[in-house]
Amino acid sequence: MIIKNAATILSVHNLVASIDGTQILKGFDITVKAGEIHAIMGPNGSGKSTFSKVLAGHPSYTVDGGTLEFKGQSLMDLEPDERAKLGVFLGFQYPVEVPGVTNGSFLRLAYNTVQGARGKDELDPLEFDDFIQSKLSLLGMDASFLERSLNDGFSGGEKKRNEILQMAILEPTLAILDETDSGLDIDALRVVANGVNTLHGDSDAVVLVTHYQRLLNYIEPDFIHVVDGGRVIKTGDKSLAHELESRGYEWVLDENRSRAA
Amino acid sequence: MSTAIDNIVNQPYKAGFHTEIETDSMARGLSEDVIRTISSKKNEPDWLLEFRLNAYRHWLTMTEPKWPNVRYPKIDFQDIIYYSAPKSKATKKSMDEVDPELLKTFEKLGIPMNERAALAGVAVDVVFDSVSVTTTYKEKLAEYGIIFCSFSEAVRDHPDLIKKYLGSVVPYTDNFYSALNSAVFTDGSFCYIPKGVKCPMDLSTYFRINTQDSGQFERTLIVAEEGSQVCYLEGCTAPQFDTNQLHAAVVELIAMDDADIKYSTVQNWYAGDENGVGGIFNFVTKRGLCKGKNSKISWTQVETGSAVTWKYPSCILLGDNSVGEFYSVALTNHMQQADTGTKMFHIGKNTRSRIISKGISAGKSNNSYRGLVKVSPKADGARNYSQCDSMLIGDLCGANTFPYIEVANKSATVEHEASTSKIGEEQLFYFLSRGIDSEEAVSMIINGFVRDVFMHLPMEFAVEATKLLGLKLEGSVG
Amino acid sequence: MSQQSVEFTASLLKADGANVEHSTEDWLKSCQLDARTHFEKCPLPTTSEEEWRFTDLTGLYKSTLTPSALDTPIDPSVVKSFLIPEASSSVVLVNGVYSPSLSTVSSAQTKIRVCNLKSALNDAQLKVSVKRRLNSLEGDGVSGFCEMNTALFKDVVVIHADSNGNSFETIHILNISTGKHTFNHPRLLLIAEEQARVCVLEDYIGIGGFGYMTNAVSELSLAAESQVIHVKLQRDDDSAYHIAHTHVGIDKGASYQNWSVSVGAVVSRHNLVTRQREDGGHIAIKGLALGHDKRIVDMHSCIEHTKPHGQSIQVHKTIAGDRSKIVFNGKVKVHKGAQQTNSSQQNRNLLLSARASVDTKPELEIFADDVKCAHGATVGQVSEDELFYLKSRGLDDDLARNLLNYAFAKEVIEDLPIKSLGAVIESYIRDQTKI
Repeated sequence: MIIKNAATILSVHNLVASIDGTQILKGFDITVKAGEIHAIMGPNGSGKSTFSKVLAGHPSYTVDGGTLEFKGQSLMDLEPDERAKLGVFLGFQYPVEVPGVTNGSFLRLAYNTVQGARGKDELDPLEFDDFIQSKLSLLGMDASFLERSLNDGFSGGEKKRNEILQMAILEPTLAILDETDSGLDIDALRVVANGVNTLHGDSDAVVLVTHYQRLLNYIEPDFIHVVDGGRVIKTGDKSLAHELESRGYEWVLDENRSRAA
Repeated sequence: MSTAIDNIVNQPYKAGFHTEIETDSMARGLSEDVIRTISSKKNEPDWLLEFRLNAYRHWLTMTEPKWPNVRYPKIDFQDIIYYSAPKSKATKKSMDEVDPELLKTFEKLGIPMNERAALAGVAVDVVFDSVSVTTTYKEKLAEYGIIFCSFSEAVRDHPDLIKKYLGSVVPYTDNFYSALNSAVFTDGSFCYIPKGVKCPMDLSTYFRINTQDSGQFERTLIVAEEGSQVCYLEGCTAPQFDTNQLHAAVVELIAMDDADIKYSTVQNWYAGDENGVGGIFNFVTKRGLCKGKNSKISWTQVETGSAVTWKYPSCILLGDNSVGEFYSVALTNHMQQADTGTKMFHIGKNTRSRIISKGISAGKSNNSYRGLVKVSPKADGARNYSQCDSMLIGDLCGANTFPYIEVANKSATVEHEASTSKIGEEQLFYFLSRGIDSEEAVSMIINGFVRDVFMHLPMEFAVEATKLLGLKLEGSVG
Repeated sequence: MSQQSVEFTASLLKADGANVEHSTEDWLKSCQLDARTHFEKCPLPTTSEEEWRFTDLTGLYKSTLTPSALDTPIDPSVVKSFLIPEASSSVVLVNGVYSPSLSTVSSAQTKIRVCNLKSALNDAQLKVSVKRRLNSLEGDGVSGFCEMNTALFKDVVVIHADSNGNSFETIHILNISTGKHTFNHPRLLLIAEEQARVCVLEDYIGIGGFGYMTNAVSELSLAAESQVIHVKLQRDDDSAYHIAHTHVGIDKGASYQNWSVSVGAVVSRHNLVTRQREDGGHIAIKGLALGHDKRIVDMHSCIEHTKPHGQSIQVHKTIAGDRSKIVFNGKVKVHKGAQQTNSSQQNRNLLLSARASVDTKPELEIFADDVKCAHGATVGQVSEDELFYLKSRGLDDDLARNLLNYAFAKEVIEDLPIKSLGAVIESYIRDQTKI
C-alpha cells in the first residue's frame, strides 16, 4: 500500500549496466518506498531481469553509471552477501541446484549469517527446526523438504516455493522477485502469492519482475513500470496491467517511440 | 571468488616438519646383500629371507607400469635408502622408554601414543620410517585374543600365521611395486581377529616418513576369522623435502565366513610444493580377499597428499554372497597427479560391490579414476553399482574417468554412472545473495560433494579428513 | 603374437606390391608411399596394446590373404536387392573398386557431386578440396590399419556437397566383397561445404565372399552449419574380418548424426573419431551391435570437443548372445578451453547367454571446468518386471524375451531417417537376438 511520508527503500537513478561489453540497462530509474509493491513489466529482452541481477550484485554485470541506493546507502561497491545482510533479497528466476548440500543446512546457515550480521541471536539446530516449521506450513511445504539437496531435482513449483521460504526466513526489507510466476500452475501461483502477501508489511517493499499480468491478479501492485530498451518508459497504477494484458506491449512501445520522435 | 577457492584449496602442509633424531640407516642401493642385511637386522627366519629373495629376483625381471595416467621422472632404485630406523631400535614396552623426540613428533601430529591421553580409545601402531616404534592397547586387545602388533613382532611371535597368509592375496609376482615391497619391506602392522570376536576398539596404524631419500615399504596384514569384525584406520604424513620419496606399501586383508573388515585411510603424504618440487610417490597395492561366505570388505580412502598416487584398493569376492565396497575422495591441487580407483572381482555367487568415487581437481593437477568391475562366468547374480563424480576448480586441471567393465555372466547387473561438475559462478552468486560469503559457500559445496563418502569414515577420521579438505563441519558429516 | 602381426603385414605388402594407379599426381603418390613406409615400420596392433586388448585378431593374422580380383562378374539383380529406394545415387564398389555399370549416379545433381577419385582429380576445383582433405586423419584412434588403407587403396569414393536448400539427398555406397580370403581397402571422402545437407549410407556386404578382410577408412569434413547424416551398416559375411576407421571433423555450428550398426563379420572393429574443430557443433551418435555365434564386435568411439559450446549425445546398445563378445570403448575428451561443453553418453548391454561376455569402458577426459558431462553404462538382462508383465498377458518366456530384446535394440534405429533401411535392420535384429 502507499503510505504517506514513508521512508524511501530503493532509489535508482539513471542506472547504466552492461554484460560482456553489451549495454543492457540504459538509464534505469525507479523509487520504492516502504509498504509499496511495484511491478516491473516488459517484453522479453527489455532488461527487467538484468535490473534484478544488478540490484543483487551479480558479478557478470558491470555498472557503468548512475546511482543505486538502498535506504540511503549506495550498494555499488557491496558484494552480494553484504547486500543480502543489509536486507536485499533476490528471488531467482532459475534457482541454482546444488547437489549434496541439504536444504535445511543451507537455510540455517543463511539465516544465522544474516541474523548475526544484524546483531541478532543465531539459532541452534533444534531452535531453528521449531522456527522453520511455522514458515513451512505457510507455504504448504513438507518437512521432508529440508532433507533434500538444495533445489536438486525440485519441480518448478517447489523451487519457487523454496525461494519464498528463504524470503520468509531472511525477512528482507526489499524483496525483488524475478519472474517468480514463470512455470507455475495456478495452484502453485496462489501459494506463492499468498506467501508474498502474508510476508509483506508496512516497513518493507516488494518488487515483482514479470512478463505476464496473471501474478498481479493475486498480488496487487501499487505501481507498474513498463520497461523497454533498458529503461522505464511508462509508469502507472494497477489499471495499466489490465491494459497491457488486453492490448499487449506494442502500444506502450509505440507511444514511447512517437514521444521520442 | 577465486581467492576464496584459493584459500580453501591452498592450505599449508602442517605435517611438513622434520624430526632431528639419530638414525640407523643403511647405505643407498638395492642388492641381494642389502636384503640379507635387512633380514638379519630383523632376525628373520630363513623362509622369510627366501620369500624376499624370490621377490627380488622376480622384480629384476619386471618393468615399471606405464599405463597409469601420471608422468614423473624415472626413479633410480639404487639411490634409495631401504632401511632407516631411529637408533634405539628395540620396540618399547612402555611409553617411558620411547625417545622423547619421537613422542614430541607424534604429539605434534596429534597421534595418541600415550594410552592415558588417547581419548578416542583407538589402539595405534606407530611406524617411523622403517620400523614400528610402539603399539598401544596390546594387552587389552590380547584379552579378546586379538593380535595387534608390528609386523616384525608378528614374524617373531606368530610365524605360522604370517607364513600362512603373507603374499596370499597380493603375491610378489602381482606387480612391479608389490615385488619390490616383498623384497625389502621393513615393518608394518599385523592384526588377527579370532573367530566370533568383534574388535572392541578401532585399530590404527600411523605411518611417518622422516629420513630424506629413504623409501617406505611397509606391509599390513589383517586376518578376520569367521564371524569377526574389525575397523582399521591408517594415516600417513611426511616432512617437506625438495626431493621425492618412494612409498610402496602392500596391504592384504582376508575375511573368512561372515567376517567384516572396514579399512579407512586418510593419506596426507607431503604433496610437493606448488611447482611440483618434492613430494611422495605413493605406489601402493591394497587388496582384500572375501574368502568366506557372507564376508564383507569395505575400503574408504581420503587421498589428499602425495605428488603422484597410483593406488587401487581392491576386493576379490570369492565367497558366495560376499560384499566389497570402495568409497573414495581424492583431492589434487597444484601439480599433483592421482590415478586411483578400485577393482572388484566377482567370483562367488550373488556377490555385490559398490563404488563411490569423488574426485576434486584444482590448480594444475590431474585426477583420474580408474576402476575395474569384472564378473567371472560363474558369478551368478553378481551386482555392481558405481558412481564416479568429478569436480573441477579452475580451468587448468584435468579430471578423467576410466571405468573398465568386463562381464562374462548373463545374470549379472552392472551399473556405472559418472558426472563432472564445477563450482560455478552462478552457484556462488546464489549463496552470496543469501548472505553466505564465498569461502563458506565453497566449503559447503565441497562438503556436500564428498558427503556420500565421508559418512563411511569413523567419526574421528571424518573430522581429520574434513579439516584436511579445509572444510567446516556444520554437522553434515558423519 | 606380435611376430604374427609383423608377418601378416609383410605378406599383405608383398601380395599387393602393385603401385597406385593415379600416379600422375605426385602428392598422392608420395602420400601413399609415406603411408607404406610408415606401415612397414609399425605393424598391425595386437591384444598386447591397451586399445586393442579385447580385439583378438590372431585368426586374421594367421590367415593368408590375397588381393581381390579386380574384375569379378556379379549378378546385377543380386546387387539390386540390396539397394534402397530413398537413394538418389547408388555407388557400388566391388572389392573396393568403383563399378560404373552397377552404380546409378544421378547426373541431374549439381549441388552434390558423387564420383570416384579419377573423376574428382579431373575437376580442377574438386581436386583442390580432395588434396586438402584426403588423408587428413588426426587425433586419437589412428592405427596401422589406417596406414594400410592409405598405402593400398585402389579407389576413393568422393562426395562433395554444396549448400542445397532444405532437402536431404541420400547417397548409398554399397561395398561388396566377393573373394575368398582376399582383402580390400574401401575409402570414402565426404566434403560438406557450408550449409550443405547430405545423408550417406555406408553399407558393407559379402556376396560369395568368405574369410575376407574389409579394411575401410572414411573421412568426413563438415564445414560451418552443414548437416550430415551418416549411417554405417556393417553386414559383412559371418566369416569376414571388418576393420573400419571413421574420422569426422566438425566446424562451427555443424551437425553430425551417425548411426553405426554392426550385424555381420566374425571380428569387427570400428574406430569412430568425431572432432568438434570450431565453436558450437552438434554430434549425435547411435550405435547398435549384435553379437551372435562366436563373433567379436568392437566399437571404439572418441568424441573430442576442442572448442566451446559443443554438444554431443551418444547412445550405444549391444546384445551379446551365444559365445560372442561385445566390446565398447567410448571416450569423451573435453580439451582445455572447450567451455560449456554439454556431453552425455549411455551404453547399455544385454547379455543373453552364459558364454557371452561384454567389456565396456566409457572414458571421460576433461580439461575444462565449465562443462556438463555425464556417462553411464549398464550390463544386465531384460527387466524382470517387463518380462512378468508380458508373461501375465499370456506370452511364453522365450517369446516375451525375444520381444523385449527386439524392443531394446529397435530403440536405437527408431528415428533412422532412411525408413526402408529400418525394416532391413529390424530383420537382422529378429534373426540374431532370437533365443
